[in-house]
Amino acid sequence: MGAILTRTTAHERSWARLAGAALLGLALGVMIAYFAVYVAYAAGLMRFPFDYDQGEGFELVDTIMLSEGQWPYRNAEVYPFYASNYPPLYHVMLIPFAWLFGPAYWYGRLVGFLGTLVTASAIGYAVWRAERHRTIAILAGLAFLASNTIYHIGPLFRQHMTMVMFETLAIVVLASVPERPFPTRRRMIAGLALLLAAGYTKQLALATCVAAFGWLFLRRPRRALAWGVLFAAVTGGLFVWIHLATDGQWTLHIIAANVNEFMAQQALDLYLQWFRLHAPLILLAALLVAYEVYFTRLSLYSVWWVLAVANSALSGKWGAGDSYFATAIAATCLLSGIAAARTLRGGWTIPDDHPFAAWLAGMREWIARQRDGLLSAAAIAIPLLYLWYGVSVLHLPTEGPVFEQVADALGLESSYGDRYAFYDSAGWVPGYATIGHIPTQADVDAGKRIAAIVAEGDLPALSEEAGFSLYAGKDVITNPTQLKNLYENGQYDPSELVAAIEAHEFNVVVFRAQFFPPPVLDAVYRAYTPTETITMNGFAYEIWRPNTDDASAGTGAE
Amino acid sequence: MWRWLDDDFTLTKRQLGGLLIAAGALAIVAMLAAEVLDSDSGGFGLVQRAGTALGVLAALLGLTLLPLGDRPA
Repeated sequence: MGAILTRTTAHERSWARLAGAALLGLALGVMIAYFAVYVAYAAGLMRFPFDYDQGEGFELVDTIMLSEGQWPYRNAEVYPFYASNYPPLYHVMLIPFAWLFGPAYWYGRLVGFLGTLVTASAIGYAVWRAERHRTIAILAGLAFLASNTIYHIGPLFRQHMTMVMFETLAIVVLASVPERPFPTRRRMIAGLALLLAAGYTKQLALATCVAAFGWLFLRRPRRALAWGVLFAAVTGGLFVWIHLATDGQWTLHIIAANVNEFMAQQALDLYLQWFRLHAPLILLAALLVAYEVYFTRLSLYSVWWVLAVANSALSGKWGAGDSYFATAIAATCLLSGIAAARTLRGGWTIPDDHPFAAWLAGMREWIARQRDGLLSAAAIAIPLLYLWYGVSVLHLPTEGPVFEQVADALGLESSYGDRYAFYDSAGWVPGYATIGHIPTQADVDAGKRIAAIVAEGDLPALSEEAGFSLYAGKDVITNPTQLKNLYENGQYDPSELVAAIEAHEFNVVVFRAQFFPPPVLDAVYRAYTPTETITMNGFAYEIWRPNTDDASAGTGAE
Repeated sequence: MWRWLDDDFTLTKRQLGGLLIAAGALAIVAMLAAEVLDSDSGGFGLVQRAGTALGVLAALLGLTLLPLGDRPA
């Protein structure tokens, strides 16, 4: 090919490659800057000793219970009115930390954060393995961490990103040698063990299991069925064991209580937001999927991407949100990385024996003639796509060393006004988590004030977040959203909790979002009075104390 | 009939197309059936419209795969 290059085209190509390399370096710089913001945010969260995202504390409670040999799947109708709706693996992984350090948030956030780094590395490795383009491989991994969604849920004490890590590792292991008709036995065992781990970290991994077995079925239906039976037996065996060990509470809380109201508009809004933020990478990924559908064999990555994007529809469930797109984002970064690297090395081909080959002969000849020019254009276009993505996902704290200066230089102001200092290009739609800022000392002080109130007296507190009770060394009472889920599915009788509230068996009630079942809220409105509001992390925490005058009972305090 | 259970059997693009057409048709029928069986639900909602649209898309995608014949899926 080089022999027929004219001096002009060779010069243009070298110029384009130089400009492309500079743009690629710029895109890499932008992604590294996002990574620095992510590390600063993660470090800030690890220092914060209370719930940052509602629900973190209950995952800590699950960890503590499991570290003491107790199941968190229990009868929520009796004291302490607590139960969990998440599978146990993430919490089991944290047991050694709980033994060594007691109840603390930092280790769950650290494991979540490290999980995202493993996922990013797996994405980068998969891109490198497929196309041997080191820079694009690194860009693809960093692009995952640069996503607004991954940024704000990555370093939380939540099991979601650990599930995504197991899912991604499973897919990368199973897809190792695409030219083989079927993965080797060793890879099948490793891949399915990782899928099992993903499912027992969070139920949402079911879609990735379906994707893996769907792809295996396309390749070798008989073997896929045989492995599927084995996988179902192991998964089901574990399920039955926990069901029996918890007298059926596991099934109740994991399955029955997870059927929530579905809000189609919320899912639609979150899809649009996801597309707006990740458009350049989604377009690249979709291009590769379409190419595989029509011109080559479907890879596991493509099947996974389609299923992961479809499964994100569950973000419309009450209590769900943008985190449900995390798997789709991982798959998007992986597929788009392969597409980008393949474009740069000119690896898109149409097989000679393809049924469309005759129809596309003209286009193939034109592409062959213009190959150098097209490669030069690709060298510019691909980095520009990553830069477009970098602009789309713009997010950073607007206060603090360096961040304030950068925000000022970019003319950015907090998207949340005085509530907290954080700019987020994602905007807000229902279901999108309003977090991302780095907690301040004022937030820590506010949390300690609430914890001091919770610590008053000997009675336990009815707190909507577990962190204050844990900090005060008191029992954690209730898991509000789980009680609400159970109640709405007709699986929860709140009479014992209502009686305890009416008997003033809690020294205070701490509300943040009032996610308790309606009868429980009504009981609090009758028996307690709001006395103080303390703001932490931009959220107003209401302190309700027992009514001292019986006459005030029934007046309500809404 | 049972050829698909042979150890060396791989689904073809045409067979994948057939599966997609069947799945799409099933989705459309399910969405319409939901409306007939639960007519008090307040009309053909967003979920049903989305389900129908996805069913149509799957069926159309399946149709375009039929000409690709015996190439492995």
